Amino acid sequence: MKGDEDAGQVFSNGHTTSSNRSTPRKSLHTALNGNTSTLNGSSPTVKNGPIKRISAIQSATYRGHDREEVVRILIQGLLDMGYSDAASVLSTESGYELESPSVAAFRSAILDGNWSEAEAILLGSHRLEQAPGLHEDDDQYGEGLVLAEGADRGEMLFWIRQQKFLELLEQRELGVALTVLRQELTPLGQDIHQLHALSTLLMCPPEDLRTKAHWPGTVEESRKMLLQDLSRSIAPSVMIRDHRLAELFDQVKQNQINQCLYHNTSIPPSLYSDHLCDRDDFPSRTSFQLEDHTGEVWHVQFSHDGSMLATASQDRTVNIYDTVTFKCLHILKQHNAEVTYVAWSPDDTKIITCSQDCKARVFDVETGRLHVTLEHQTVDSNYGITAAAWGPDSMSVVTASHDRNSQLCHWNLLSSEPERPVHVWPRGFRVQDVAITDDGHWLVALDPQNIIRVFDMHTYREEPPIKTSGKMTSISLSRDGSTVLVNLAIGEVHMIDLATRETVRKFRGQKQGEFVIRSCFGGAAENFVVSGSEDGKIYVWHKENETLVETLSGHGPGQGGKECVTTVDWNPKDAGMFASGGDDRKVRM
Amino acid sequence: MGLTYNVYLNSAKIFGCKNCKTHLADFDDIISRNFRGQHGKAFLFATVVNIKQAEAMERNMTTGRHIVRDIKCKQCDETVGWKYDKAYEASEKYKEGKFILESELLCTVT
Repeated sequence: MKGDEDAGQVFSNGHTTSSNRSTPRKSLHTALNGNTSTLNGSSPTVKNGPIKRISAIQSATYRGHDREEVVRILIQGLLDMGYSDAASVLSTESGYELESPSVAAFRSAILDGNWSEAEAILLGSHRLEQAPGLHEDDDQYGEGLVLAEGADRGEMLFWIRQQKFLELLEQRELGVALTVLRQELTPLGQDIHQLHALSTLLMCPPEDLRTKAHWPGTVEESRKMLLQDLSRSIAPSVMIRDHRLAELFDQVKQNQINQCLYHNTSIPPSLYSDHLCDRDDFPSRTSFQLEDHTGEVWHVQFSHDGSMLATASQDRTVNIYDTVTFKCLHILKQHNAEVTYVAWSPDDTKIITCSQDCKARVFDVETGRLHVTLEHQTVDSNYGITAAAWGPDSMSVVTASHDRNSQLCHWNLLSSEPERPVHVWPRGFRVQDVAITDDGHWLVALDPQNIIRVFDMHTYREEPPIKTSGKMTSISLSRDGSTVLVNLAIGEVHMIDLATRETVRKFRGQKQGEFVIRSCFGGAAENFVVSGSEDGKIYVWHKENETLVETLSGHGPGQGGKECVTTVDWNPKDAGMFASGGDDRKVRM
Repeated sequence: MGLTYNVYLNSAKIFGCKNCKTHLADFDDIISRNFRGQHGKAFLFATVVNIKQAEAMERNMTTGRHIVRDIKCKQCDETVGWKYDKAYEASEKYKEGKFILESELLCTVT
């Protein structure tokens, strides 16, 4: 890294001297800069003086930071914010340029669609032709742009030529496009699959071209995207990543949030001071108790807008509360057995309840009326419905059961026969808990033994499953759908990344073994992980650093003489409120 | 108590409660078929699932004195067999901690 930066400095210094010494170079220089901002156009001429002043007066570092790095990032930041005059003044005074002329030329070549020029700069041949063997010290000219570690020049060429090809296609210059494909893209020997995909685009009607090629709206946008892709492969010291200053600030803020144990606000921290949340803002006291249930409370769930709370109980009822007044809005009594699960539709107009009587029921939240009863078709009706998950349209729902012959059913409430499933997954496993990502693409199903099954909701096809180390009791998704939380019967909560399938965090401390215990993400920015426990306490961990933030006393002993917090849920809109349900028949806020 | 779901076994042949078909034991886990209960033929298992255990009591059996407790189906409370807590005869010690399910009170579920 350091070596690269030094090289960059030598490069720009060498360049300025050369531009003053040799006339052929200078003309080339202005030609290259023709299209860039005033900053790049004006700086080379006034550069030599300031450089000397720096070495005389100022040290090479700024409080331990590389002066060139800091100044260049500042220049970029100023330009980003629209202070182009200030940026050029800074550049003049410091003697550092945001980008070397060749990078500027490369950028403008790409954005103007000047492909041969761009390729030439990338490969360095441009220089060789026009200024053969002029300077020994700037040998990078011969090699083209300095690339990032591990970047592949061939791949970058491929991207450029692919853009050229696609643009030709869009102009309906099919013959030229075909020549580009045959004579420029194919010989590069890059991604064969991509080549095939590109060749099929030749046949594609122009109106489908953009979607099929995953192309953004306009030529300008797609060029910008290409430039972004390319810039990732160019050494960061030569071409600074876009919006680097903002990126650094983001990192600082995220880091402060990660360090802040009781962080529970969605307002981003200020840059002026170090950020720290007060413990008093953390909801650690019971503010309200709901005591309407006559049986153990097995599941609590806030509506998506946070205005209502649904509680499911052993006493065969589901209660819906207003979360401001805590008045009970509805008591849903139609169940013939214990209710183990409730789920709000994404638009909060409907709620589905899952009961041990082998039926799932959809209720209208406004009226509290039973909308439809769903029943898995199976050989013997001995299996309760364990869980349900809504599709993003609030009209389709997937229900889960322990029944090996009919474990997952997909229903459409809009169809003429809503009681008939639109899809039944092939038999052969059991499901205890399900969740669907907010975009409706992925279904995650918990096979209680030790497998998390992932299904594509568009094709119903199963992805490779995720194996865990032991028996699991519940699953919950993060808001962005990228990670899941699973409770393991050995007394751990694991956070698993759905993309990499790795367990990224482990939270320990809660007691579990016999019963179904549920957990969830919580807090304003989902900074916490909360879980119930078989010792009657509620465990709260910091999501990023796995620290146990709080152990709150939750629920007292129930009829069985045991104290157990079965379920927790954090209000998605009011970060200062979460609910828990347990053996003592109460719901605490 | 907390919420508990019944444990479901996954083998090809499973013994369930005759009354409610709740899974009780895996056919392949039988240790011995050479037992007799109140209702005739009975099987010895090392592990059974979804049962509740009653109070321990001393009982004189054909093979001698034992401390046993009845076991019931967790789902429907039907007695399905018993568990050996303690055997006094040295030759019967192997039964300690193991379970008897009576064939007559079982059904096979798939």
